Amino acid sequence: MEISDGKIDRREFFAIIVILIASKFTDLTATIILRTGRTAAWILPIISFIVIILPFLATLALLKRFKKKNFIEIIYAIAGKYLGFVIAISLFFILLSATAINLRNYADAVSTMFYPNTPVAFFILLGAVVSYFIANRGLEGIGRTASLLLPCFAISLLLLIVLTWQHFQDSYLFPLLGPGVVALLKDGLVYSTIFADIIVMAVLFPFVKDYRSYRTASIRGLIVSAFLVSLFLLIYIIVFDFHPATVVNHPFHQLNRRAQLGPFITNVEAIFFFFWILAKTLRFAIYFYVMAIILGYSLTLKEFEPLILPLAGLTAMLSLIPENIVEGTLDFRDNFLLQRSWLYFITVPIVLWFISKWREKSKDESL
Amino acid sequence: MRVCKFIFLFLLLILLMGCWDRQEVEERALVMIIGLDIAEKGMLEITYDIANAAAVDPGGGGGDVGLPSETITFLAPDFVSARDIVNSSVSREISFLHLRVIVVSEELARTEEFIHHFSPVLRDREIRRNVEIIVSQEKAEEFIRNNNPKLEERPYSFFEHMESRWRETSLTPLSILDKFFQRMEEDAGVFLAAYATAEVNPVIEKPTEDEYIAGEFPKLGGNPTQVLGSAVFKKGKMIGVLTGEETRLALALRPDVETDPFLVTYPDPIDEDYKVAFRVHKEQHNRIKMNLKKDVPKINVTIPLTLELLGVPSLINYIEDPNNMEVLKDSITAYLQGKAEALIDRTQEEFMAEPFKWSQVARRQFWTLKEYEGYHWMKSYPKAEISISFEIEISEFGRQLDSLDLQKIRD
Repeated sequence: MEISDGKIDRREFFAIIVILIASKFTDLTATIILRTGRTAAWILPIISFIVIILPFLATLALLKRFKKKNFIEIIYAIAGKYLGFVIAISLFFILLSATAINLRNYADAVSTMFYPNTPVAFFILLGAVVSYFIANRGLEGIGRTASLLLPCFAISLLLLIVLTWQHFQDSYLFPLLGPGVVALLKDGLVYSTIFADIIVMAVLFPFVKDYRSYRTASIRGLIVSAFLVSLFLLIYIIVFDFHPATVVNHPFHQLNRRAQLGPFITNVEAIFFFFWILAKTLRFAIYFYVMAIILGYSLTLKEFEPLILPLAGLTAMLSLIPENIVEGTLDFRDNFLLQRSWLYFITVPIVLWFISKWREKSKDESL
Repeated sequence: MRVCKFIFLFLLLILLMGCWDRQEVEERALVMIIGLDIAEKGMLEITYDIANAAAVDPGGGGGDVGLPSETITFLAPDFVSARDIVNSSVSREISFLHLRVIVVSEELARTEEFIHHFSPVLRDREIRRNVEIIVSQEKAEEFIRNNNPKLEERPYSFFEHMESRWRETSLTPLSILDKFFQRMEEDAGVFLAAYATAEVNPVIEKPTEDEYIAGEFPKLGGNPTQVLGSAVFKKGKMIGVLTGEETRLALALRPDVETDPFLVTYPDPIDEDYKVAFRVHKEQHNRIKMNLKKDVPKINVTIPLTLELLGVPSLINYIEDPNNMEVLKDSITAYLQGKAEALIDRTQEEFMAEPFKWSQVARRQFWTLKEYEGYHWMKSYPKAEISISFEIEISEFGRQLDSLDLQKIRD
């Protein structure tokens, strides 16, 4: 057995990215996109993917240029102490509010669909505690868990597709362009934040084995995630029809409920529920760890790992604030987070890249 | 430290049981059939048919386990609060996890208030989406109490088996909750629900066997329940009834194959005293072409059917005589065409909407939702010019090629 060096390899990083991003179709992100895209909701992730390519490539270029530094350190190196702090800490706050809302969604889904009498706070707490334990194991622990979980999760998704096949009605996809090409392009741009995680992952760069692994894993991870999100949005439309799909609270779980094997084996949703919980918990663990890194490096602290526990607690407490998912997700997350922060994620990497390119050029010229 | 971890994990395991949502099977009253009737002052009269779990257990003890189910009827202001009120006299917690059938009386279904009473069913977590909806001619309470299947031990398993029969004969549609709400929200067509009764009013003079609706089929003995024909729902309200034959045609006119092979008789073209019996297979999809660009929509539907000749009571030789075969095919085609056109006229004039899921074909003609919703399929349908053609192939003849030659035998 080789001695671990505290770094994760390509496979583990790929698994982390896919679980992080692809699991977005299992929660209210799907509802948000279905409400805007309607019959063409499955096209939106494709447009968002195209939009995020440029900032993503800019991030990769920055990482390659600066070699061992992570994204926060790069921000500081290029933007200086004060502006760098502003940019880095805003990233932290965006992530903190996103994770808190996500945790609330998760708790709501479990409470609504499976355990109606149990208080939502219980699931928030439970989710935060378990995710903390995973995050505490360090990135290696997270990476190994992710690479173990990913194939199981993928098989359960495949099984889900097979078992709900009989409910597919392809005529529900029509009219194909839904709200129209212009609306789709605009929404695809605005909702590109669903893939913004791929840029946030740049904070993990020093922990990945080498640049090549990082690059291959993130490119493949992004493509696979975009495909999965688009595929499942398509499935939601062809199973539910666009209007019920926008009204149904938790489309992934409703889809699970329709999975049936013959006339007698119904209610197999427990299997999918199990893998979904594992994926979600892992996702929060990754978020806690990444938030700790961002906060730690933003404040230029010596260690960031002790930050995980207080951040988990803070996230849990913030999750309790919204009154219900309408206020929390459809209002706050949709209107504020998702629709406004796209500007941040698209411009920051590109602007930073330009600045660093310009500085290098002027450095070359001055030599 | 290790001990602490173990204790902690152990405590977590206990949590796996679920504290607040723990359910004991013996503490649950499993409602298998729900009946909804209208009562005065906007209240609902609700009937629960609760299965007796002990009596249902096939291996379980002999001896006196009681009736297979208990039927209770009560008044309630709405569907949701009824669950708690009923616990004033039912000792177990009501559970809809195994609900199979919701029976709605025709009287309630034809009111504007019906959909207001019925929509809470959508939000209920426990009610599965594939619960059947049956519309009963009489009060739902009477229907549930009079339903007395002799061959089944439990009343709801009657409906379980009947679902397969409905799929096989197509005399009644397969009407499930999911599709009811989907069709209503799509707002493009009408929904067909199973139509039933447990009161028999036989009508002897109907010319063919499938022109009955529930209750008219003359029969003695067995379960008084008859499920035949369909109740037509438009925008969540019942507006009419289709006979068994019309239901079959409606299902046959749909874009996808929704009918299993079924048995019919058509008038014998050569000898008017008799009919010819067939098994009708619908194996290929209909070809539906639409031209929606002009003011008057034009729809062309071609329905390919494969027929299996099963009985010729008139003993005329249709099989080996090609002229007779042509006459037979033409006569069936004309007959079916006439029936289909009559049904379509009825949908255009009486219902002003179609039960054929043609809206799903119409949707493909538009590129954006704005165009499709602006076109308003349901409003455009009644003025459409529709032409139907049947393509009949008589492919099989049962076990014998030739009928008995009665002339020769009797001479």
